[in-house]
Amino acid sequence: MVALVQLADDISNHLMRGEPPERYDIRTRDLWQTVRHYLTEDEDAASAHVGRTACQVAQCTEQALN
Amino acid sequence: MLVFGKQPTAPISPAELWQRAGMQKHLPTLPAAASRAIQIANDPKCEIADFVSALETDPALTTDILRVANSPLYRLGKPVATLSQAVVRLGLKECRNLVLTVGFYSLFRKTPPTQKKACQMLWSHLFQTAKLCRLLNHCLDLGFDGEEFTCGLVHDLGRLLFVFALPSRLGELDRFDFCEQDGSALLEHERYIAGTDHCQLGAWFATINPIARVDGQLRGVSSPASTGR
Repeated sequence: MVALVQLADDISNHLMRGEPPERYDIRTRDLWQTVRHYLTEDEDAASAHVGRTACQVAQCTEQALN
Repeated sequence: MLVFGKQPTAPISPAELWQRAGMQKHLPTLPAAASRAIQIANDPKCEIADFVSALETDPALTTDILRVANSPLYRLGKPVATLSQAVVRLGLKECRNLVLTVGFYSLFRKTPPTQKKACQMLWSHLFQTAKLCRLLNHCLDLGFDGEEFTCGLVHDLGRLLFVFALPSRLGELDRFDFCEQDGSALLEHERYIAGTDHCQLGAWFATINPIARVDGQLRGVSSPASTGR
């Protein structure tokens, strides 16, 4: 739960700063180390999946808020 | 009201900060009907009728919930006209989240007029984080069952509490620029100004107020150790 909220908080901070959703890069954040435990053992595939999902979610959220 | 000099404020407990600020009799609380409805919804054996009855005792809350349920964020198909329809349409857990959202938002209406703009930004961040938690939980199939929304919504409760406790120092405490790359420095800065930080304040508040105990999760989310700040 903590990792999930951290991730959501981080994406939200990114959007609140007015930065484009597509520039959000989960790989650059330490929290990735925690988030990946929720996922598969294939780190590269998991990283790509989370990165894609985070961008999609960020875009959906921005559209909803606007 | 606290008065600070140029020296760092000596460390104080969140309870002491709250007391010194003269806030001990002004704890922000959810509307009674919202608290009762959330309590009912948290019971796995709850009846929808009981949930709706609890909410209907507060007409203003009912109106707000229907308004949000019919907003583009939630609306699917024909508009809902009653709380019962909203529960059938959205599901009990989603309605519970909606009640919490509307109830939590009512706290922001009580903030000082001079802080409205800052509070609006903070509210946008909290609500956005809650929705992101829900979407990520769904997209990543993490298995949470509604509690993730609550945690997202209240994760920065301590920042809101600073608005109540130290409105005259808010500009120094929180710039609302959402740059949190160095979380440790942020918390250190808060402790310099206020003697405590928003994580400690939020965690303390969760022990005394049902707002943050709705899922028993806030302490884990907002404690500095668990956030890595």
